[in-house]
Parts: sequence; structure tokens; C-alpha cells
Amino acid sequence: MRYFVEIARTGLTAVLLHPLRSVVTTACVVVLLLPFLVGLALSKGVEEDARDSIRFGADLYVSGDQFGRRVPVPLEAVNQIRKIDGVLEVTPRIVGSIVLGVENENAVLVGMPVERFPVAVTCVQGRLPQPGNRNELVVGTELARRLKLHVGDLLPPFYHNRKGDRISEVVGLFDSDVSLWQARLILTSFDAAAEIFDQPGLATDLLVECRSGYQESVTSTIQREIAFSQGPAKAVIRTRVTSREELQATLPAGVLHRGGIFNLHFVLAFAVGIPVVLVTSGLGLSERRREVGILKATGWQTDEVLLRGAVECFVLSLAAACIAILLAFVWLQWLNGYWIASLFLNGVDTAPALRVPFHLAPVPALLAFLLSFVLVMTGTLYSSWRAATVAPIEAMR
Amino acid sequence: MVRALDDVSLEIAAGSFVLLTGASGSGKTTLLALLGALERPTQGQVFLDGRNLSDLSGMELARVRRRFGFVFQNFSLIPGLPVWENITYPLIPRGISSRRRLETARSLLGNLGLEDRLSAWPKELSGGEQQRVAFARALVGRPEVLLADEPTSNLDPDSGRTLLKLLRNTHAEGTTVILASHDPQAVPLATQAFELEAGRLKTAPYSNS
Repeated sequence: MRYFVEIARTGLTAVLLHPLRSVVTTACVVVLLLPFLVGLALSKGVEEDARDSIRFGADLYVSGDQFGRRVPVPLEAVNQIRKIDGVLEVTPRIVGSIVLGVENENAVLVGMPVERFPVAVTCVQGRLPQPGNRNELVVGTELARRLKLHVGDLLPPFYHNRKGDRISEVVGLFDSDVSLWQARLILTSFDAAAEIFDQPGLATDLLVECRSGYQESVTSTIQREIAFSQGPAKAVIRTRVTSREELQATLPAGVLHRGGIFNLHFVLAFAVGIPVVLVTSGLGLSERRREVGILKATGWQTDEVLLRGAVECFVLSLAAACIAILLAFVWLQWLNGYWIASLFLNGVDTAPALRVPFHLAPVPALLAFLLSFVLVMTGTLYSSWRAATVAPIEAMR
Repeated sequence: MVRALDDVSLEIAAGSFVLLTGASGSGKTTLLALLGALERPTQGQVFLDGRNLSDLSGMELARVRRRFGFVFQNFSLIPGLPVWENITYPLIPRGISSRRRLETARSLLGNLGLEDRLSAWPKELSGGEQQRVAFARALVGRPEVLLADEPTSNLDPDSGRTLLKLLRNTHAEGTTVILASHDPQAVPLATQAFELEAGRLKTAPYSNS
């Protein structure tokens, strides 16, 4: 045991024996690991944000279904569902995309009964739309900043309605930093949203809250009993019910898909990184070779030289992983993912105005360490092995 | 390919002091490297206690080297290690603790008149001091055979004399010494001497004893 400890200790001192090489190798590994860690942390943060949104959302989401696709659901369904045993509340919602401003900013317009607005939505300026008042909008602070909107500003018609276009008024600004999903959100009353999208009598989905334990029976009742016929051909619109659990289950698939693409890119960077580290490990290679020759000439075995090299790699990679984790935290927490968040999150500026969600999980950190270990080992151990397997007198030259 | 040694055959008895002489490039260093298992011969054989070194594996050769001590012409100290670590690095694979290694280095340096240089760095030492440190490293494993390759050639005359005295004392304690040197002061110390010329033994070995 002492044998291993003593050789391992020389691996530690070997890091300091070649300071330039150690610094350059560590720096190269940090440069490779940092975007990887930041990317994974952002991905995890977005996933957790989405999970929170689902957790605090409705028990069931009901929409129409035609040809296996999700379609709007007629408002008649609201009263029919309310009558089902176990249903506490049914809230119609309209969610649609709009484009605003000269720079064609994409925004999500959500319309729902004013009294059913999420509790988390509080105005930092102005007020929420009043029931009955048409075309009152509440805009997230991030979107308001981009579009230079203030409370009281009037928006020229940005939609076309068969009954004529109307001016909309910004009556309030809400804090969009609460969640990533609110960054580009515009809230309005259900009626205003129906008018904007020119879809009277329809909702994109219905949010259903159930009594505890009734979720399954409500789901089956809706699917069994509620259907509509529409249009001159009396086409049938069936209902599609998605539970909170189903939404949560589908979430990782999307995140993993993006994560997979990211990992693929990282593997490419990793492949490029190995030769980079090999080259940087070549710094002080002749000095290292001579040192190995001296060790061999004084009775060290090849496996002992390699053990020493492996400990050196371990220390360098541990240092690189720790520095990368620390920098990733600083980048995300204090610099709010400056620049890098815009690469991972659609529609986020170089300097994000919203609080970028992230979560530095232990598994990616461990993975980062393993990757850096492989990188440094590849660069260091090969050269040590080469030097240790030639005649000592040759290595010392 | 350069033929560094050709038709060289010699036998060294345990406990002898062997001097290898010859002009630069005559093959002294190559012969020393072969005798010390620092290199395998491309042709021919080197025997140690009746075992052919060419038949040994890398690990076995490393163990054989632990029976030897080497003093190189250019000292071959590791610049980033303090003197005491340089001296005792060969003891690390033997699992000897750093405290015991430090004591051993202190004792050896005391015998060599360098007790105050224990924690110095190689670059802070004069050539003579560096060679004495290299000498201490060669002795640290209590070698059966001490091989020295022109150890005085980079030293001033006083330091050279000191080193030869150390070699004589080491030999007197029973260690076999094989010295490659041009230094005429080394001649009286040798019990056997061989002269090399262009990789061949020029003259038959002579003996002082």
C-alpha cells in the first residue's frame, strides 16, 4: 500500500515539475468542458422549468382531435365537462403565435378568462385586463423591452378579423423573469384572444381541474361521451385528453432530443480536442522523456512510471473539471449565461434579460471529470509509455 | 547503423575497480550502458551472475538496475526536485516513506559534506555539488555495482579529486566500481583497466593488484 502511496505522491509533484505543460493542458481541457457543462446545465434548467409549469398547471388538458391531430375544441364542451362528476373547474384557453414590430418579433398570445389568470402573473406596471374590456393586453417585461412598449401604448391592428381590425392597448407589464416560458408572452382576456385569432366559439384547449382521485374517471368520461360535429359535412371532432402525468412523461423526450444533438456536437469537439491536448502535452516532452529515462535508469519499472503518469493525469483532470464546473457556475449564475444562453435557447439575446434557468447536476459534473481524465490520459500516458519502453539511455539523450 | 562496440569481451570480478579509458567516441559510454542494463546489445551477450541480460524482461531488467548505481557525466538530476528528493527517488518504488527517505538523504549528504544543501534546487548548486548529489543518488540503494561515466569531466580539479576519493572509499567498502574516465588521477585507483579504441579493446587488460 505504501508502495502505491509513495508512487502516487510523485504523480502529484510531477504536476508541479512541469508547470507550463500542466497549465496549458488544464486550460485546453477547461475550454472543451466548459460549453459542455453549461449546455447540460441549461438543458436541465429548461427541463425543470417546464416540469414546474406542468406541476402547477391543470390536471387535464382537453383539446379537439381530427385525423389524429390536435385541433381547437368548441366552447360547448366547457359546460358539458363541468357536469361530469369529479370536475372542479374548466377553463378555456387560447394559445397562438403572433408576429409583432418591424423586426418581426415572435410572441405567444394567451387568452383566458381574466379571473383565471395564473396567480404567478402580477403586474410590475399597470394592471391586468378588466373583464368585458376588449383588446387590453398585458405584456411581459422582456418582450416590452424589445418592442419598446409601455403601459398606455396603443398597438396598431396586428391581426385581420372579418368584423374589422381594432387597436389594442397595453394596460400592464408583468415580470417575465419568473420563468423562461413567460419571456415572450402576451396575456389577454379570452374574448380578446378569440377576436384576435378570429376563432369565435373555439378554444385551443380546456384546462380541467379534478377532485383528487377522479382524474381517470373524468378522462374516460370525456373521451367516451364528448364529441362534436362541425361544418356542413358534420365532421366529427373528438376530444383528446392529456393528463399532467402524460405531459411530464413526454417532456424528457423533447429535452433528450435536444440533449442528443448537443452531445453529438460535443463528441465532434471532443474528437478535435484529443489531438489538441496531444499537441499541448507535447510541451516539455523532451524534458519529460529525459525524466522518465532517469527514473528507469535508477530502477523504476515501466508500470511504476505509468502509475505515476496516471496519478498526474488524475490530478490535472480533477483540477480541470473543478475549474470548468466553477466557471460554468459563474457564467450561468453571475453572468446569466451571457452569449452562450443565446446558442441554446431560442429567441434569447446575447445578454439575456430574463433569468436563464440552469441546474448544474452532479452527473454531468462527474461526466466532465471522466471526459477530462480520458483527454489528459490520452495526451500524457502515451508519451510516458513511449519514453518508458525505450532503453533508458536512449530516453535520457 | 553505427557499430559502437565490436568484438569486445571482458569479465569483471565482484569487488574490483575497473577503469575504462579511451578517446571520445571510442565506445566507453555504450559499454557502460550495456554493463548497467541501460541498453540491450544488438549482438552479443552480457552476463550478470551467470544470467544473460538479453533474456530478461523489461521488469526483470528494472530489478537488475536496482542492484546498480549510476553516476552520469551530465549529472542527470531532475531540475524540479529538491536535492533530497533527487537523491532518494530510486527508493520510492521500494515503498520507503518520505520521512525515512529524508533521513537517508541527510545522512548521505552529511558524508559528502553537503548537509546544508538538503532542500536546495539543483540549479542552485555548483557543478561539483551537483555531481556529489548524483553520487549520493547512485549510492542510496546500496548498489552492488557503481557505474560512473566520466564523472569528473565537467568538474574543476578540486571537485574531481573529491569525487575520485569518494569512489575509492565506496570501492573500499566492497562495492564493485566501473569507471569510464580520461582522468589520469583515476588510474592508480583501478584494479583492472581496459582501453577502447573505435569500439574495440585496444590493449589487453592490465591489473594494478
